[in-house]
Amino acid sequence: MHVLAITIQEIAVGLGGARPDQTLWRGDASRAFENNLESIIAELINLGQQLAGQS
Amino acid sequence: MSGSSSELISWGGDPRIVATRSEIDRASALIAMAQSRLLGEVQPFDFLVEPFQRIIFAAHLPELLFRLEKLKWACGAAGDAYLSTEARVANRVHWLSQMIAQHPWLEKFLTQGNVQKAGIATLAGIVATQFFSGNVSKMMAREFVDVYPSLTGLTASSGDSSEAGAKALQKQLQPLGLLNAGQVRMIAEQAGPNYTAPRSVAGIAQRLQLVHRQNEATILIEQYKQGKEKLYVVYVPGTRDKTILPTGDPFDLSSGVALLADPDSASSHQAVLDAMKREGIDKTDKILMVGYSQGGTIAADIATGDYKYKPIGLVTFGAPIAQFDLPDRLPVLSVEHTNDIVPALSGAVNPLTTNWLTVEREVPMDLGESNLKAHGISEYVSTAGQIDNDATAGVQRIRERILGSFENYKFVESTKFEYSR
Repeated sequence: MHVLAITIQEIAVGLGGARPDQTLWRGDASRAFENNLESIIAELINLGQQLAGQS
Repeated sequence: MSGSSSELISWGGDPRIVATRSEIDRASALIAMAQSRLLGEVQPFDFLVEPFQRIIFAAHLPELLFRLEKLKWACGAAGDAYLSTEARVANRVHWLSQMIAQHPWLEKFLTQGNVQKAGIATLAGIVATQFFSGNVSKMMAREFVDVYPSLTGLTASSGDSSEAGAKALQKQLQPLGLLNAGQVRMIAEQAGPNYTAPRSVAGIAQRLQLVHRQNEATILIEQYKQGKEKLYVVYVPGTRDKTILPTGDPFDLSSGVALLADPDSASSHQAVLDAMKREGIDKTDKILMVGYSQGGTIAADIATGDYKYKPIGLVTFGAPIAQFDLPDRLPVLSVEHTNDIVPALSGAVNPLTTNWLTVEREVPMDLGESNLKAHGISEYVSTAGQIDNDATAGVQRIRERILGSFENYKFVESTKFEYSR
């Protein structure tokens, strides 16, 4: 696998750590934040896979 | 932040909405870190390795960075919205104390003479805030409290607590013979009024007002019983003598400063613990702590659970209590007027948690009138009346939890403990 693809996967995993801890932050804003975050993480993972597939 | 139909603004107390600034800041920091790492992959030399992939990546990057930036902004907006307009503005000015806390080398530029002047100017600033209008007064007072220890160079400040400020003030004033308090002693113990359990927040506030207005510094303790179970309500008055010199009243200003620096060292705090001991409150008995101003700070300290008592609730009026780490399950009702600077002496804003409800109201005032009017207990009794009629989810829930504590309990007796020093 390509170095860049691996790095992007790592960044996506790191970004997952920003998911709100429900005991410390919950409510509408927290849910909206998490939905947006998941969408960006999914995009990063897709991009990583796309780059890994390039030869 | 949740609104209401009346003049009240409230936050907290609603289990559906919880926010802590530390968690929002943590999420924001991780996003910033991801942005930085993403940018780090498109440095010129990076294109020597996997150039084709990097070009594709670079094409996607601006949109990714923009979306992450928007998310970071959302974090900031969420934190501000949750923690009231006051917190929103306070955050804007909070940079000064944070800057000094984070860059202690700034203090090196202050000569000893300037340090003294800065300290005096800051103290004067705290006093002057009582003439600022609306919530600006509270916000500025909080900022001065945070900045003071750093400016005096005597104590490091965390930038979000009154403890360092109060300790710095103690260090400066004690050598001058100010703030040196004597030993507290009980001068009378007598039966209090015959009551039934309070049925409203206004009822609690009115009893507290009577306690605060006694001729001597008085702590009132009511005892209720359900079978063998006992429930006590401890009413603690506020600062009664506002001169800077120590007086015979344990609830004076010197106790107020000591209380913020080290609660156990304050005569007023010692008096409350003494009264509770004399009343024979056991560690298995339930206690509801109620306090106004300085008394609210004492009540909150005892409600932390650090003492041998079993707190089941806390009600404070015009008291700085944001600095306390209160148990998550404890129902807390903290009433603060937006133009009362005393609650701001905590140096922080109350958190937004499931069981900690903060209710604010701005007390109308004439031009040039001192904000000390907003600290008046009669104004807090009036606000308590509005709280009883407020339908906001968090207000309703915490109000019912506190007043519900008395369900099936019968009044036994009340005792007044008077103190001097």
